[in-house]
Amino acid sequence: MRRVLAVQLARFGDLAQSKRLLLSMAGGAETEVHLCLDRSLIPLARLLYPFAVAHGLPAHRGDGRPEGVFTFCRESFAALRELDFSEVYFLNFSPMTFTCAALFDPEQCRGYARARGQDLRSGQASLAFNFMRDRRFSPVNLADLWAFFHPDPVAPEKVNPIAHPAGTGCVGIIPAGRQARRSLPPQVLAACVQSVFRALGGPRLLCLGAEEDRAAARRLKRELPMRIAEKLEDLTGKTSLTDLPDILRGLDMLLTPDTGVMHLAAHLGTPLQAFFLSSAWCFETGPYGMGHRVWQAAEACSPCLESAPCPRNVACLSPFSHPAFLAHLAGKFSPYWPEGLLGCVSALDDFGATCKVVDGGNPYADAARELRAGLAEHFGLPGAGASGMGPRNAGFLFREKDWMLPENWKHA
Amino acid sequence: MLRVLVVLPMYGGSLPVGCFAAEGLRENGCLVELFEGPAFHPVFCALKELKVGSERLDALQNSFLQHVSQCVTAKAEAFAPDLVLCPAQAPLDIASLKQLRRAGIRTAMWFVEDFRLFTYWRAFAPYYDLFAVIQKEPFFSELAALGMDNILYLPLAALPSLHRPLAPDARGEKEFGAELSFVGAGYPNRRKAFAGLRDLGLKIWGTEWEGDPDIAPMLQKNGERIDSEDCVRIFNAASINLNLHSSIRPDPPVVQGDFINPRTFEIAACGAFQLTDRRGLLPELFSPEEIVTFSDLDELREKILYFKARPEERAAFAARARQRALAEHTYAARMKSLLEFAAERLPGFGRHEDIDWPENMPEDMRAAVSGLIRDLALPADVSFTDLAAAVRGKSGVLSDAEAALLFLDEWKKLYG
Repeated sequence: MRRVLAVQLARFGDLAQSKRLLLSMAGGAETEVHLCLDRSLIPLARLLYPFAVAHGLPAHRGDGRPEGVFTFCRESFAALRELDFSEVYFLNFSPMTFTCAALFDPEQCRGYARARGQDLRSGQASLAFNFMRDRRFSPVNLADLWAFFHPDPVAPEKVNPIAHPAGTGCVGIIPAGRQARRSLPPQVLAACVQSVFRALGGPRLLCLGAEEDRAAARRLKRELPMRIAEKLEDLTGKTSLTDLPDILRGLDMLLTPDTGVMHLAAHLGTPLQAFFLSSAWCFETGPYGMGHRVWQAAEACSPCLESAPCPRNVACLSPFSHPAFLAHLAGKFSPYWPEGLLGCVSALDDFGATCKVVDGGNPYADAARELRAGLAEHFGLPGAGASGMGPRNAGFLFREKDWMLPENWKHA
Repeated sequence: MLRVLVVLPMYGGSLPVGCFAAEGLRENGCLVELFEGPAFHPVFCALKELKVGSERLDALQNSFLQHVSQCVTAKAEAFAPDLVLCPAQAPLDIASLKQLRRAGIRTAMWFVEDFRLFTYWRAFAPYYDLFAVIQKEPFFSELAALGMDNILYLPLAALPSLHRPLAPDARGEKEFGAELSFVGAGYPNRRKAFAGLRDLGLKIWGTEWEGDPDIAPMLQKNGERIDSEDCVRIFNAASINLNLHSSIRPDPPVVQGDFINPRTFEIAACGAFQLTDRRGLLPELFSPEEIVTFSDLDELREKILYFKARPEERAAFAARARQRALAEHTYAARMKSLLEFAAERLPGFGRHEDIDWPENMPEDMRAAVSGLIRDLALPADVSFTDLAAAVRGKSGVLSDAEAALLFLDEWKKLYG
């Protein structure tokens, strides 16, 4: 029995986006997949990846008490070491990840490693850092980036089902994401909800979220006309993460910002209307699979760093209130399309997931397409052929070290 | 616990001084990280094989050294030291020194060279926070004139764990045994002084002695470089160790300069007997009962002949010199002086932010932490931050306890 481990210490959304890699790891004969993650996410991991053995670490704040962290980690590390993994995949670039990597021989490690006290990135991870220097041109979905840490990733269409409405007449709404600036304010979201409500002929609405989202849900309800508000049931704070899959399966559609629940819905095949603004960039973290819609804010400053104050008073919000967009969302024809907004459909190609722009113009599309073709050529994807990538984009994708020292720790 | 980054030169006489100083710092309870300058030396040498114009080579060498300097500053950023200690020739350029100063990282130069010969200190001195030197006036005044207020007289020293008496062994005796020995480079004054000592059975070890027919018969191991361990074997295996300070001129062969070379302290700590040329700063370091001196070549020959025949007297001098060296002239003592001086002169020196140990530390964590402290030879009252830094500096795969400690460190940085 061959054992392989993935270490994913980030949040719910990142865990869901690790799916293609985990499926790829599970692909080999006689392979036992293990997953190391924050202990609070173990129940969710069991739902997402029932084939994987989950190991918890106190990677998140938890109860905020440091006393137990050492003992918990030490016991977990001892247990992981005992399992004698043939490969260990490290997915996140973080000091905690490198600490875990220090437990293993660098030869075992994929993605990131620590050798002789020095933190190292694999060739694939370095490549990602190269093209993430300018996120406007991001050619790869994060889920695929991680999947390519594996030498033989599963086909993109095997990751998530094609999205289909459940036929229940029920629409879910996520009123707020973890990052406030990535979420539509209640007034803006309420207008979008009204449009969808009209388009679907007055469905039942379910507001979903954690306890801390209750205030946002209440504000949303206040902003809705009475006839719509009456059809909205507020479930925020009333469901656990493990209740979510059943609820999501029963939806015709989910309205959401870029959240972990969005990725969970994509995992289940629930159709999405996803609103991406501020730092969220659907070409990096859009929903994986066919049948989703994404509305991507695309101001000149997009995508931004959400931790930095916005000097433009979150200008990327305004297209979401534009009458032409709301008409579009309501399923009505409009000859106009607001500037600074892209209407996308989720799509798959040989490389993986992508967002195809069908409304609005993406000035970075040509460069991103060329970079994606260049990456496909680099990874030797079947049918990739000659990318025709020009020297400018090739110079952006590859750096001196890649050209001159291609053998430089090139695991994965 | 003080953290010190020691920047080792790429090669040369100040390289072992840097290594020994690092050991001395550790003996003072410091957490020490080394910048391994010698690892970069082969690249520097490769540049000299390019066969390009000298101007181009010069530019390439300078830009390479700038890059090495940036490696030092990157390491300083990562290690967050209280002090960056640079022995002479440490690869740290002025731009990097300015960068470290801007970052609030203190720098000290231990200038273990003759200030009259190596005058580049004039360009660099203003950018260090502290300048330790092996000479006194007029060097002090000249440094002060450049605005350097923190000047410390810090002579060289011995490392007792290395410079120690060795039990006689047949192989060592055969390879290194001599009535009269010298280890060091072939400076012009030494060539002149030693050319006439062949009849007394002098054996010479070291480099840069080529091309001298008078010296050639005395030269051992084809003039190969002698490492520190073999130096100790030679000192131990000689009846009389000659110690003549170098000069770039042949005359006078005995220059009667001021500073004291490392060999003086090292031979003394080995409990070996030495004849040393008279130096201005020697009396305050060793008394005439501890080290025998000479002022010219006649006196040297006279004293060689005298002590050759008197092994008991040699042993008595050597024992007294060793006692003094161990009591006062160790790298640990020198580094203690350096750190005390830094604490006195540099405001806020040694105050860095520590993350507290978790309250209510569980018993198993206490036991594991004690084990880590013991393994890393750290003081029992080491702070959490310093223990984490020491573990982070380790090479190789970490143990479960080591990784758990680093994980907790990262957790505390994120969540308090």
